[in-house]
Amino acid sequence: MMINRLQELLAGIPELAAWRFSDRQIQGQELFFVRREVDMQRSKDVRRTYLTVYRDFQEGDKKYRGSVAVQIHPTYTAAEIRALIEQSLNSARYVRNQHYPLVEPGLEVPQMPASSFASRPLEEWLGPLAETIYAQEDSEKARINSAELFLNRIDNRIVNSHGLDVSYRSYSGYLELIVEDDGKAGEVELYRELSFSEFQPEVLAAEVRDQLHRCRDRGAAGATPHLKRFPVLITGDPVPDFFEYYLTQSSAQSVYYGISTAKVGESIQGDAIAGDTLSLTLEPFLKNSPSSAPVDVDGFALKPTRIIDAGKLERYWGPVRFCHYLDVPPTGAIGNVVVQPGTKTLDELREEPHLEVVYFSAFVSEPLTGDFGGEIRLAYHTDEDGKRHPVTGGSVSGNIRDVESHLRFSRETRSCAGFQGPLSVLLPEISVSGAASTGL
Amino acid sequence: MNVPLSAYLARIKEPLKGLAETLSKDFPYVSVLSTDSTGMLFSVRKRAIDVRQSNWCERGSVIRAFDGRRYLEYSFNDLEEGSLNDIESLAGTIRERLRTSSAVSGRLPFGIPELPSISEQPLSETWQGEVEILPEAVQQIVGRLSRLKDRAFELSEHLVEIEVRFEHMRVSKLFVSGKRELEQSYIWAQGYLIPVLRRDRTIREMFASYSGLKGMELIDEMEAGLEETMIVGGQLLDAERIEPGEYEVILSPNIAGLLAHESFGHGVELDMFVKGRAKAAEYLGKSVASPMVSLRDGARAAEQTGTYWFDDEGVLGGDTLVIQEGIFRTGISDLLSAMRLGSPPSGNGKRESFERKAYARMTNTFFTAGKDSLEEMIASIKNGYLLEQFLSGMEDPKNWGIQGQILYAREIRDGRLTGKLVSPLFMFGYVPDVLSSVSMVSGEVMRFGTGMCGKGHKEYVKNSLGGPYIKTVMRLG
Repeated sequence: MMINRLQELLAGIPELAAWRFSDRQIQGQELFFVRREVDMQRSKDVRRTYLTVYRDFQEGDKKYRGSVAVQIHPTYTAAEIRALIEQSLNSARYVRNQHYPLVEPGLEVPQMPASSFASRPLEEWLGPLAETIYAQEDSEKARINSAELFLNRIDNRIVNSHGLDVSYRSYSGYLELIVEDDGKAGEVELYRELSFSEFQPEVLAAEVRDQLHRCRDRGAAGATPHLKRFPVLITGDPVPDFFEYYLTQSSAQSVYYGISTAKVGESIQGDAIAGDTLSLTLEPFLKNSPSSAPVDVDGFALKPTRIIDAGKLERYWGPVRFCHYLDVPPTGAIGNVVVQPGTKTLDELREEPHLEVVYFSAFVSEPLTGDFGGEIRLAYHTDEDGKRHPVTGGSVSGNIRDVESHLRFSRETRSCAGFQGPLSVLLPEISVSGAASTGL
Repeated sequence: MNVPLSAYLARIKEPLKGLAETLSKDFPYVSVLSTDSTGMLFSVRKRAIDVRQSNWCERGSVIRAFDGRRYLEYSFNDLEEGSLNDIESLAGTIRERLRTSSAVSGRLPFGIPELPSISEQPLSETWQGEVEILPEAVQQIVGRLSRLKDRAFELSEHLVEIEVRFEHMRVSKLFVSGKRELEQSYIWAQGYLIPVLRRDRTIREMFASYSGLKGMELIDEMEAGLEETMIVGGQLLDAERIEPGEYEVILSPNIAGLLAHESFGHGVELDMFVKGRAKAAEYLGKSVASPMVSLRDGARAAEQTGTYWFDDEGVLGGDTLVIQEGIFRTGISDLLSAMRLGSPPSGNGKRESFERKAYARMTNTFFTAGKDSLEEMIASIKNGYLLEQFLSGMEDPKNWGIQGQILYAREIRDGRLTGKLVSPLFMFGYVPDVLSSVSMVSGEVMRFGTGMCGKGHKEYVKNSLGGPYIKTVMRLG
């Protein structure tokens, strides 16, 4: 109804060179727990429709395409929509962007795999999910403090004025889980968020058990020693963030903006790689990933695409617009990243003295400069004698460009929201600041 | 100039009152929050211009209902045309959604907290903000941002890219319950200068931000700040990494604000007390900081992007003295947390949008002024740093850690700024240690309202933070 009304309103406007809209109808169920009580239950039925209008113009020999993107709320009247289109088209004349094409229909769109959540009404999944989470509490010592559970069913549709019309259904689950432990020096907690798109109770249970176990370790942890420069193994949740740098460096948008100088066919991992080489593929579909989609926001049909092979940039990735600017084939904006694991097992990577960080307060990785770091909430320090101690506090920091030629990736892999790749990455000596005072 | 009220909210006010009244036959308490917030984002780069509606735009409603045992909420925006003319039918749909939710949680093997129905004092008010110039002229905005971009390239041979961004929002909200009818409309704006500079293999990104309950006049401030931004950006190309360790530091008002926000901002959100996640709960009425330290939070405590007249639960915005001369006095609360703790709500119940739950959130959070001068502070430090411009921060309310990502710091040796910069760096500390170590506080408070604040890693809302220059001791790395 809404789409038809929009199409009718867009028809016959002379200045309108093209248009595209994306429509998302979202049904959501949410549960909020404080310990073992349901603090609140929420549900929602919302619709988000975004319209982009394009206006073409020419100055001398140069062709431009101006665009303005606006949200069309379902309660807009026809008069409000008409006024918004008119304002947007008027504004688009000041947006002097190099001309680029829209996605054309006709490309084969892959089928979105059905989620296990599709088999029942959304609200009926809340019980099984919540019971799976809380069943993992195995002691009074490490326990669940609070949890927030969200489950959305999303009907997506992308339509443009060139005849493209693509629809698919996706599911998005999200858990914020806080666990706590009495600890040797007072209560401690660990915060974690998990995203999912399938009902996989064994995966969810394992993640919750792991968090409870880690929280017990944080409760028993000592202070991180001041190790100055030391090998650091990062494990688990921070690993996908670490690889963001390579995604930014290889994106057509970054190259067009001049903030990446990466060149196809050349090493993107520094000179003389002495560690594992990086191979990175973008995948439209990854099991249990809410980022999976058959098309990107422009409606471009996605397929698995190798971006980096053995440390060498194979191709730029990006939406139609920026790939057109660079005169390279578009890949679309693909939501999942797959990184090839390394050659050594985690046990082998742990053989030498190192610090293995499993939880940061917030791991920060700057995709432009390569700077990274964060405060340690839980790490394991393996000393010269091979003993492994849980530690907390202190920080690590470094720059990817200083360490990239000596990276080691674990052979063990892990899948989480939008990522599949090595469970751990070993960084050669980087800066480790201890938790204790280091002297004025 | 008065910010106009939303015509849409005016149109649906009476039907919504009817909806609340109809639902009240089945639920002891019902409220409706409706939003109609609009705004635009303009981004000008070297080779691209982006004009689109701001991500903060929203138009929709959320119903909160108490069924006698539990609080339930339903968010919606997809009203069929004419549905507001048939309130009985709309109420029937919403009633069914709420009852389905109630039945689902009733079947779960979990308890329910005992809470009474919300009790409100009658109030009917309308508020309108004011700005100097309403931000409406697209051609003028794009033109001024483009000239800023061109000027930046004239100022530095090392500039490879700059994003000049300006965003404005008109926030309009209507709250209706059995006893309350509140409406507000105000404008905030924010702007960014983000130059990227490269020399040989060194690449650095500078960041300057501007914000306020302002309109077009904010672009004047961006224009005035460009030259200094480019100078510091150039200096960043020579910046080195810091030697990790504990240092005497001066926090700029921007970084002091981050400390306020992450320590006794997130740390005293009273929904964290309900969950038993806040260490601050053990320190009510006790010393948590140097006597030089006082901290406030409140939607009406300052005029910045955290300002509003009523929160998303229909409670009037307040001005809370959180720390008074080093003593922790009280926290900030949403309505339901205040009810559970038996304390008055402080007007801090905020939602990311009508689609999301209300939580206890900060508004305008800042340390109050002292009596020292920045010059005296610098002169008092033998080996330390003046920290400038945060990029991000993370709270740890249970264990009172604080992490801040800082763009750069200026080196101080023997009481003088050496001109050397270190970048980037992290600051860390244990909140009571950092606040107890405060030894000097300057006399002027500055506030910053760009960006957004999450609760954990979600529920992003606008607020502001700030303070004077503050001297303390922190770990840097």
